[in-house]
Amino acid sequence: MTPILEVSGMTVNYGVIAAVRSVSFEVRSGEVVVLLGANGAGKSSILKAVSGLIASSGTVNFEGADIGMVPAHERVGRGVAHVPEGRRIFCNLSVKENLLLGGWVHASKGGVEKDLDRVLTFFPRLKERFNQAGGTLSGGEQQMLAFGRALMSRPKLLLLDEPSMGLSPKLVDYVFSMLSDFHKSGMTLLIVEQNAAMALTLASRAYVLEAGEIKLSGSAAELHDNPLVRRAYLGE
Amino acid sequence: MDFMRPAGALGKYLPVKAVVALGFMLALSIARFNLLDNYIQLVLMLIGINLILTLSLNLVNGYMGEFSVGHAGFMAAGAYVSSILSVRVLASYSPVWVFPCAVLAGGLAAGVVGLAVAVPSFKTRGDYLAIVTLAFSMIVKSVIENIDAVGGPRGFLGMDKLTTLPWVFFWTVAAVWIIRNFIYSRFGRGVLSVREDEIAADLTGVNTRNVKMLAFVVSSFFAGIAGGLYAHLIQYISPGVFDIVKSTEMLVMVYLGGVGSIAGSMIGAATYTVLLEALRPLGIWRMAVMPLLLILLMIFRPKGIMGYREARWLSPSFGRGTGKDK
Repeated sequence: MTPILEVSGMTVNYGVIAAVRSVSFEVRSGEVVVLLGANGAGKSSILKAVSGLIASSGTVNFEGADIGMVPAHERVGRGVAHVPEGRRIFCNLSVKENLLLGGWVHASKGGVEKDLDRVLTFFPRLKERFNQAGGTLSGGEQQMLAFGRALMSRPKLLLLDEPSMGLSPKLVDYVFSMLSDFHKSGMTLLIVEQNAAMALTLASRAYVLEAGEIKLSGSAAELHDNPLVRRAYLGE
Repeated sequence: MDFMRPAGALGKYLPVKAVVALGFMLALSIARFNLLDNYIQLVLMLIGINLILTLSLNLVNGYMGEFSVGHAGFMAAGAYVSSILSVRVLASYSPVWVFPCAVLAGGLAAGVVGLAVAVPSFKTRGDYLAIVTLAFSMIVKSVIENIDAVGGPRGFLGMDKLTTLPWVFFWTVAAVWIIRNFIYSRFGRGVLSVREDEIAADLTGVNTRNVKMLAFVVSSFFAGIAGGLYAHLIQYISPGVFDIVKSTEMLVMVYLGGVGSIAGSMIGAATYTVLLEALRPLGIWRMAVMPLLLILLMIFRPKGIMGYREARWLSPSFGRGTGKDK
């Protein structure tokens, strides 16, 4: 399969500190890829560089085109959606407004109503809370809203930064079942996740990052059985 | 542009339209038959002009979450451009046409100036933008002071008293209508998303730069309109009129009535204008009331009377069942 996302030689610097050093990886169409690593390994920086929030050197190829110089908001239009760490929903705006903002890039071309229907069928809870302010939602509902907002942009590649962070174990299960549904519907996912055990059951492939460099890569099953991964990330 | 379209069905705002029509008739007959004391008419017109200014600043400070302290500069641009047009350029034409054209041209000029300020200054945010706008209003003031052709620091006069109650009413309604529809449009949602979380706005695909520019230009346009109306009401303008005190007055009206609220802007502009008139017996001391009001406001009600809330008749769900709309 052809890679939908191809990153090569990506380096991200914060001042004099290099958070990501010449990282290369790819995500093939329809795959779920997980980035594993300790805090500060550079996982979030990689996602931010792919979605255009921060500058990076190296190349980011999306569907065969170099998008390294494309501003973040235009990358959304091309099909890259990023659900950031901590969800970052618009707390003072209603669920409706949050979702409509997610469909911003398609608003002039129409079809937003249909997207809205699709998202609300997927997350019936959001329909119940439709006119409520985003900030009044529970943690799990806010996560749904963040997913829903991202889905409104009709993403081809969904970047997820710690989707299970701050959620109860029951909600973590729910989040992963949703991610699995996204995957089954044909979406490509690139996930950064602390909960390595859960992430590896969902993923097809994984990369292990350490201090801004890729240390290991392989299929999820391989990495799941790797003694190093088991010790460092699966708590053995 | 989609924000020019009324947000709802034709008949939905019938009561609001009826009140507006009635108000316009009333304004016409008051002006025509002098039903009210001239002083009361003057105060009413000042309320309208101040409301336009408050809405204009609220768009930037309340809805977009930025902080402009230089809106007097845009008002000055509108006032001077419209006055020069009506006194020097269009003087030979009938005032029936001169006035609306001059005021509109003043607004457009202020909009262009707003764009010129927005392009470089939106590289900065928050405190920095406040400083940039403050510096801008100082530049406007000193530029006018140094152009002898428009009277320099002595000011500019010769305008006929063309601002009447119906005209103020017309422009006030236009400002409320356009800004309200702008806010509830797709672009308006973009403006709100910038206030809420600019990074998240970027990630949802909002072109934050364009959205901010558009809001700023609309805002400065209306500040310019208010300037034109003011100039043709007082019939005298000088650089000193559009100093930091004028900008502060606008801030007080915005924060008194409530940030991010059109109804709040109405309350703020009306309360402040009337209060300032009522305190006239205090002489120069009344100017001490304004900062005092601001201090008390920040302590007891930092978001203002209507902060982030809207009157029902101004919100898009008006005339519909609650919670059932989509």
